[in-house]
Amino acid sequence: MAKILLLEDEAPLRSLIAELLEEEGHSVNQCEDGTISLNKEALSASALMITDIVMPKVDGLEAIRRAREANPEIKIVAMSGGGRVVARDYLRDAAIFGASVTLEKPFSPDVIVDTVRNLLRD
Amino acid sequence: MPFRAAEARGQGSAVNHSDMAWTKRRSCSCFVCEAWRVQYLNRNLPRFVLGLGTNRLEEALASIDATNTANRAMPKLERLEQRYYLSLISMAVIDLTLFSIFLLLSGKFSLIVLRLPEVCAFLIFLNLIGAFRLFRPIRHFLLTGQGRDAAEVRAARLGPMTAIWVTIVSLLFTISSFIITPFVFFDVPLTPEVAFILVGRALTWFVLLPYVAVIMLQEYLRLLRRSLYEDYGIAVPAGHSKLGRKLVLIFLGGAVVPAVSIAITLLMVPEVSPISGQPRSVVVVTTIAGATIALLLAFWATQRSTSAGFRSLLHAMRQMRKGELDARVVIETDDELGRLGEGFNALSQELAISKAETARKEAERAQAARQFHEAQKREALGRLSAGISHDFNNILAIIVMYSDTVRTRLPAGDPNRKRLEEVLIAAGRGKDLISQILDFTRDKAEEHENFDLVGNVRETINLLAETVAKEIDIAFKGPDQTVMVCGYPTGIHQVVANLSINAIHAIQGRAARLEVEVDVSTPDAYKLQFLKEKFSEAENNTVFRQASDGTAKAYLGQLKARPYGRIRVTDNGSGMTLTTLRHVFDPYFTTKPVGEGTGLGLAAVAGIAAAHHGGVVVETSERRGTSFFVYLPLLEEKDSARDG
Repeated sequence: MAKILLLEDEAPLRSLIAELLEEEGHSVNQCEDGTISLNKEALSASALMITDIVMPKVDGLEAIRRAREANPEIKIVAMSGGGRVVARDYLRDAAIFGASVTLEKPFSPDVIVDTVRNLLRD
Repeated sequence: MPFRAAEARGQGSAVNHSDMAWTKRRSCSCFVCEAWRVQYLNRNLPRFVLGLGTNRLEEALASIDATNTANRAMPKLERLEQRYYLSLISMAVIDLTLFSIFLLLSGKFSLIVLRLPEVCAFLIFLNLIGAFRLFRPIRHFLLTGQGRDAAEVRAARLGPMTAIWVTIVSLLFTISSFIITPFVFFDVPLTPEVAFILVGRALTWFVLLPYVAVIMLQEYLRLLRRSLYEDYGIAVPAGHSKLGRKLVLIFLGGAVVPAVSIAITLLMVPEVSPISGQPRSVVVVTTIAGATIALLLAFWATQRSTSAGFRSLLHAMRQMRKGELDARVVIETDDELGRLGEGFNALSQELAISKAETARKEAERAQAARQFHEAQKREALGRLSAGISHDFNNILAIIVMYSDTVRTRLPAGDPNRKRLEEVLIAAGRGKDLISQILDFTRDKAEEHENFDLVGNVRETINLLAETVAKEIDIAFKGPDQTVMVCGYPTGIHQVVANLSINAIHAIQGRAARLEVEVDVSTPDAYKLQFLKEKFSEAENNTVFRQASDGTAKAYLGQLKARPYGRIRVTDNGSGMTLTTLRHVFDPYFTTKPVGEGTGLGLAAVAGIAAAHHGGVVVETSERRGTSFFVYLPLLEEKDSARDG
């Protein structure tokens, strides 16, 4: 139903979430880092973005900022396992940068599926 | 004798009233008797009956302590005073000795009794009266503990003053015994020849007697100085006399004058003395004897004092080399050796002070280093845990996601469902564990609070200066008042540390210099207007531009025209071009190894500033290096009212 951007560098996680969402009928564009956020068309075309925070090349906070700029309507879900080098709650930063929902890893599959469903319904 | 004299003057000398009758003691007003009365009554009546009140009683008890001290001083005082008098009695001893030698050689020893009255009158009685008066300030201090300065001054001058006194006494004595007495009492014929001889005799004695007295006095003065220093801590200053001069005087008085006297005797006096009827050889022998005794005494005394002085100095130096920095030399003489001792004492004092200062600074530095190491350890621990937790959470996420997916797709009765539930429960416990570890190491001060920006930044700079910045120069400038903001103190620590460390990395290989300043600044309204248009076209709320003088500038976050607390970090690097500046906020890090860097670098700085609803401005040029300005909204009245 909707075009979803998925940004996550951990491959097994990424492929599982993509599968679950595709089972719901969405079309998922998988990315292993945040460089997609440099692509304004991709951002404008998507209805929802799910992004991890700690990623190579372009990180999640950067991606969220760019996505917010390029597409103010886009729904953004941020997920994180916590700071990598400093003990920082990046989800709080993500919310400030413009994420709609933040999820702490690990979470169960229903959580991500329900979140996406609720966000797209509004 | 001295005590009663003092008492008669009503000074209430505080010693030896214990042999006073009780009736007199009851009415004596000196503090010792007062204390004694109180003590007596205290022992014999219940305290409340005394009606004295505890204040009076405490005063009295304190004065009893003073008495005890005074009593202890007594034997010492007696000894010091007696030795003083003894040294002056040497004049009488010498005179009688020489006269005895003369009489023995003449075979008329019984005539010694003729000499005694004058010796006693002048050389003992008169002598000691004067000496007693001279010693008074010292005695007063030793007895009562008061008049320390007067005692010190008198002790320094006691030598010269006593020398003058014994010279006067000697003058009177010699005039009396050599000139007046022979003519008045002994019918010596008044011829020029006789007069000449007698005057010659008188002059010789006039020089010899004080000579001996002063020598003995010098020995005594060494004892006095030592006593005053060791028992009362009074360092009588060394005077200005010179050892060389003393030696010259010793030679003159002990050798030259007697030699001249002998020469005159041999030249002028006939074979048989017209006065005593003795052959002149007797006179000559007596004079030689006197001179020899005097000279021997003088050399003995000088040698003793010089040796003692050197020994004391050597001893003190040895002690200092062992590390006892409070070694001090007792200044026993008033000549160069004494001054040497004074110099040594001053030097060792300086040394002790500077050592203490060094030790204190060392301790402070160690303390600061320890504190920073503690902070670093905690941070390292935090980073380690953070790294572990991130990877661990990702691993758990995979376990949880896949297990749960499988579990939900198994048929309802399948036993594997239950097994997978166990897997999920275990994963849940893993998550809790990691959470706990993270909470434990996370800085608890990650709370939203009001704090002083100046103090916060200064702390960070101090810590950096103690450890990281040994090779570089960090200067901090801040206002005297506090600059209150509302936010996350740890975040601001991170901002300053990040900017500083980034700057240090950027200026590698040069004499790095960092300036950090905190102040209050209101952005210019016109500039804000100008920037507003730029912001509307900009990406990510960031404006990059090149100023007309070539400076590249970046503005992250839109500020308002109101006062902000501003942190400035300036380095003396070679600046950045506009192109470089555009990329400097791109985050850099490696995902796999836990370790270097502060994670998201300048992106974190931008994020923290945004979290405070502030902004970041960068100005960079090759000429002026790079400056980062972090703007943080000030705590306003209504904010503090809201939180408070």
